[in-house]
Amino acid sequence: MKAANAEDALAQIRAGLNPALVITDYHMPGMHGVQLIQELRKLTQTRFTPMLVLTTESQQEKRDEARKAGATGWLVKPVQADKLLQVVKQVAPSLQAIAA
Amino acid sequence: MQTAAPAIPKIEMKTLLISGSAGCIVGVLPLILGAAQPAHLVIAAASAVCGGLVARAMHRPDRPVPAMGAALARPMAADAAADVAPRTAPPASASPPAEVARVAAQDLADLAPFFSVTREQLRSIVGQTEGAADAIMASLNALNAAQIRSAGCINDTRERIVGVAEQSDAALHALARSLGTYLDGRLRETQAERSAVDAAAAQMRGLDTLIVSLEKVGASTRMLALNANIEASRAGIHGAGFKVIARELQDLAQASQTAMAEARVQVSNVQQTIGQVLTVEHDAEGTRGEQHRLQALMTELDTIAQTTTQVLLGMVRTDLTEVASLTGAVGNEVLSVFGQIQFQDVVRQQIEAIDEANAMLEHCLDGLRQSLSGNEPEARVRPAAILETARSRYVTQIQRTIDAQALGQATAQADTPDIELF
Repeated sequence: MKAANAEDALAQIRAGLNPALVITDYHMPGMHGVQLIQELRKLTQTRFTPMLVLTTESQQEKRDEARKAGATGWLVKPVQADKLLQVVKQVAPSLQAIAA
Repeated sequence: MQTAAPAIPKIEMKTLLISGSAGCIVGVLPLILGAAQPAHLVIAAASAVCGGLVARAMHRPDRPVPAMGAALARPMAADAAADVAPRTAPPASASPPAEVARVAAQDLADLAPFFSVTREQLRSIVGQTEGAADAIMASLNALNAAQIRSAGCINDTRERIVGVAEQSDAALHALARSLGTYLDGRLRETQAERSAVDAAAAQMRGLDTLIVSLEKVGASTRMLALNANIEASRAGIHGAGFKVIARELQDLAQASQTAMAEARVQVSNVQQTIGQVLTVEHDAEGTRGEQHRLQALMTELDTIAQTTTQVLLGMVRTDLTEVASLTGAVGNEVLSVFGQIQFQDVVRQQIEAIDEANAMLEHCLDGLRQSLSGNEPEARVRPAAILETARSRYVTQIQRTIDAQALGQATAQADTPDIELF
């Protein structure tokens, strides 16, 4: 499933979408990625869902902010596909079959 | 300051910027920065900004053009005329005060780090773009090669399958013909055997009839001998000779009956023997022959199956394994392309930072223009603030590294990993 921005993602999840993993950018029009994670952590269905921030942002402050918001991991672009798949397998074992 | 600006660099710069592409800007900036004197730099950069071309090339729809920039964005011809007029005949009264000129010169000198950083950031963007393009091209070439090889493997497999199918079809047709011939021959043999057995049985039945007839003859002879003996006894002494003949006749009938019984036993034995012989011959030779022929057919069928299996296994082990391997390689290349495409986001953010810095430069240069024209600037932007603002918008480690390298500073090593799980 894809969402154009954080608001779109929130709307889809509030409408019943129950993702096994969330991968979000940091810089987006409107709400940024860490704010999205904060909102998602308030929802029952995504309280324990693994959430990765995939971004060009490399500032430690932003990274700490994401950690406090409940992000599962931080990946700085560009990320090699095999490394991304490795992380996905690690944080969302239920998606291992898809990742393989 | 104005008369020191040669016309040629300015014309080249405007010509390149008209296309409005980042590549042209990259080509222009070194030209601007490569000017021998600061005056060239000021006039060239100011002209570009006043012409509004940089703003148009770099402007994003979601960010409004600054009011001062919009006010300055007038047609190039008018801009050129306005530029040329004061240069060729500057009125003495329009000369800026010495202090204003000094401050302006200092501001212009202070812009040098900004231009150095911007130039290196743009070079970095070009380098990243070229690197990503090269990597994507390499992946596409690899994809193309894999696709060609896969198509070749599939074509080879197809031809082999067609060949195997044709060979198997011919072999199976030949086998079917052999089996038909065998079955026809076997049917004819069975019919001949049945005819022979039927003939032998008929002959045996003829012998039975003959024996029955002979038995009737024997019974009649015995009855005749009995009657002759009775009549000879009745004749008394005169029938003594006849009685001897009757006794002999009776002995003959008895012997004939015994011989007939023995003949019946013998005929029965012969019948059994013929039947056994036919069965034994059929079981021994016929069965062996049939076994050989059937074995030959089965061997032929087995050969066809083996050939087909070997060819199919060969295809699975070679062609299809290679196709599977190539498919995996294609998947990896596609993933690599997806990974390379992320450069677009990195580069986009770098360009956005430069875009914002350019907007500030526009403000700064407009302030200078107003100062040099004897007017108080609406808002003064210090050159150092441009760079600081640009730096505050950095999001990537690449930007920070390039910034440090452009200013000859030590490159700050990233102390955080690119991938971190919390």
